[in-house]
Amino acid sequence: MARDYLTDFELMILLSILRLGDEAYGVPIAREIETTGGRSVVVAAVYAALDRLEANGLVSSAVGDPTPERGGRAKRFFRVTPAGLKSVRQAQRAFTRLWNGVPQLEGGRG
Amino acid sequence: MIARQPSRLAVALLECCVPDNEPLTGDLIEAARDRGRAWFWRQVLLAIVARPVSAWRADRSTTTATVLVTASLLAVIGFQAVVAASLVNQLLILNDPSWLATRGRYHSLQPWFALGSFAAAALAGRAISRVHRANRVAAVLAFSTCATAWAFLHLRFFVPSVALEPLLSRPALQTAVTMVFVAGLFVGMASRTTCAHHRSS
Repeated sequence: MARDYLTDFELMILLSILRLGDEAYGVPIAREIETTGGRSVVVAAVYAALDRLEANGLVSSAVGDPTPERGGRAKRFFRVTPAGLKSVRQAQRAFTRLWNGVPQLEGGRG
Repeated sequence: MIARQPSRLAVALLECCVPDNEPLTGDLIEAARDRGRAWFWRQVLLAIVARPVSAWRADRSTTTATVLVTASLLAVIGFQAVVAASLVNQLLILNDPSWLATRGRYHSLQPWFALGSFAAAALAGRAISRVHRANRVAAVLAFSTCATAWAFLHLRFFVPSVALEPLLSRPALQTAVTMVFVAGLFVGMASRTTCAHHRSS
């Protein structure tokens, strides 16, 4: 059954794809989450989440050409669909509303 | 810096257990150049574990049914191989009763045998799948012979004899070990078929 909300990992993946633009495939997506999100990533888990997002129509993918540094294996490039972008905006609005008015988070300390 | 190549065994294991995800294999090979073999092995093992979990999360009823049907199939084939191996064992005892006294001499090494079963079966399965294209009857015979021979080896070297030897000695344990071997045979055969399909498409 399809969910109507994004997990934090799915949201990080969607944001990474948006940041990477045309170069969004497995390795840069995982690296982006590791460097900006500060967490170690299992590449297979990224693919599992991407498959879920694609099944829900939030991302689309296209297979590129095989390259020698990958042992002749092709890359799978991802794009965020308009429905995916809408979900990210909804999540952003929800988080912003939750952030506002929390005294412990004001002032950037702590 | 010297670019590190991932272990060929790890790549083969990944392609065998996760056969339909070429981009994942390519990504791991590409990333392994910076991160090393230990990272690659960890990612491969987690990918193998994650696959059935994500399949189950995507479609629980179908995955549960598939697991039950597969386990039943493995149990039936495994039990048949154990019965065949036990019959051969009985024939050998009838021919020479001293045969029974030397049985199960490596009983303490049984867990290692069970672990090695899967790897040996995967290799045998790949060899059998070569025959499969030319002659399916020969492939079925080779499959049955391999499973029975492995069950017999297990019985001969790892199952100790008892005073009144029954037809089936420790059938549950023998069937479980043979199921691991039969599962390896199927995985080996499937991996080669998938690779051939990838090459042709």
